[in-house]
Amino acid sequence: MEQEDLYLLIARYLARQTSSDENAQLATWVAQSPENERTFEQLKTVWQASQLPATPAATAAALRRVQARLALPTVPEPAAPPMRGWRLRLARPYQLAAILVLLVSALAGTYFYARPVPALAYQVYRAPAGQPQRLRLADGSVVTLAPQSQLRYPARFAGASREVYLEGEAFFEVSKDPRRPFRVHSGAWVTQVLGTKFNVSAVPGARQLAVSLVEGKVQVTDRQGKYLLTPGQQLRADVATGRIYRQAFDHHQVLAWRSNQLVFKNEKLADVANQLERRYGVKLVFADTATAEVRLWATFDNEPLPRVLGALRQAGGLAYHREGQVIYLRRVAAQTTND
Amino acid sequence: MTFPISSSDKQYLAALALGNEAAFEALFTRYYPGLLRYAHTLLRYPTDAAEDAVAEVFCTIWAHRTQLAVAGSLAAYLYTAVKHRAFDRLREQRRTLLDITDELPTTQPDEAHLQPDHLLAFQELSAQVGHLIEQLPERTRQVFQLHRDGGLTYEEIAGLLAISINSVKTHMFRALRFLKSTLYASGYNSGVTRRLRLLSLR
Repeated sequence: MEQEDLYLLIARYLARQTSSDENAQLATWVAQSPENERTFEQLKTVWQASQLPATPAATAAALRRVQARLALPTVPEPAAPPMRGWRLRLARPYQLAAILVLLVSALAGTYFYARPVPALAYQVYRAPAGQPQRLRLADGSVVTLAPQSQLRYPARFAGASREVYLEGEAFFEVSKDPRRPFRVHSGAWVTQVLGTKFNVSAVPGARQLAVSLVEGKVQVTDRQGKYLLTPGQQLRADVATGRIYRQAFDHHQVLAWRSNQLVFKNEKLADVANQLERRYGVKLVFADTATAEVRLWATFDNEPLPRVLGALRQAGGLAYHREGQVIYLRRVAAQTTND
Repeated sequence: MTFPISSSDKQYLAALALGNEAAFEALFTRYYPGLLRYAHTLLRYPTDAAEDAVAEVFCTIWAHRTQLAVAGSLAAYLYTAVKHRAFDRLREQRRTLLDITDELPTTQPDEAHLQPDHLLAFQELSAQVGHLIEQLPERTRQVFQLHRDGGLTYEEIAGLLAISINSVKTHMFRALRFLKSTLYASGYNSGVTRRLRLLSLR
């Protein structure tokens, strides 16, 4: 069989588009020699590895928007069991809040993420847009959560380790406890520490993931290996390519968000849009490539959004108009250079 | 009330006609990522245009759920609907369609500030293959993704892209050959878990 016909037949087989005659034909060919079998297996590997990465959160969010437009009930619909029995036991309102949070996060977990739900009672905290929020965990560790980031953590740590789950960005100051390693789960990475200070940036939809170590020692594990960091080092992954880098990091740039600063050092607007969106709770839409590739050198120190947009207009030559929470940007002039 | 995602086209259409919301959710969840990716190749800017176009297609499908005229596969129907919506938008904006028969430069992350010896590994095989797919010429990549993500047949792809079936087959073959030979030339060994050393692929 010609190589082209063969490859196409295999691809159609893997796409489940072949007839039973074709399947028989392919099976015969594969059985003819170890080389044929190897060719088939290699193409199968390529096929499986090229699967479109699932984005359950983004797809679910898009689905909710469509359902809202169609006035359909949105998922998930938390079951509302009669609360009579519960009401008798609950003396204080904050206990009720904790149970509802647990119910919502458990449903979200099973519907969208299919992560194993831990046996401990986990709480979920999501920081609103605007200011970073500090959380104190049961072991005394302090977590500063960036705006619109989310941490799932147990009310009490039990067992041989302390596990928390991060979506977004946070700075951790972890209490030392040699008996119980502290582990941060963020996507495919697990950052393990004994007691130390570090920043984890794992924002859904961002182009980069990073763990930056300020003090102490951490080990980051992913599916393929372990990486050790020393203070001043950062492990960074480019989401699009999957490449991982270890390098020194600029403390000011990486940690500025904790004091509500935004620091941009010659970065493209498209790459920093995420930070602006989270900080101000808005969505940025770029009109074209030229707009998306405008480069910024700026430090914004706790500025309100209109000031930031004004600076972008002046220094970046960007015009904008705002409709509610959406800001439309378009480059209209060459950037002014700093005097 | 759940609806199995792997139901057949007929089952989906029957359930939708009856107003089954779970079927609509399953349809959305199954096809949205691939459709969005396809829409992005047609509508790059403004940056929310692709999402909007796909969302509109699904809204229309629900609104007309009792009268859907699907000749052929559901996948092809959806991709074609997205194409039409994208073309409508482009006409509204009076923009010219990006001519994707030209080989556009593939987007590379800005690496000016990152040294090559800091590059440690690819996180996983799918990332490496994803990287290779990005290196394909635009049209070849598009054909590959329509076949892989959307499950469209070669005939359906030819119809959607308005090119010949032979063209589709050539693109598909080129993509497979490139991916397979580059992946295995780089020392990937499916039997062993080890760090991959990055070779310059250009």
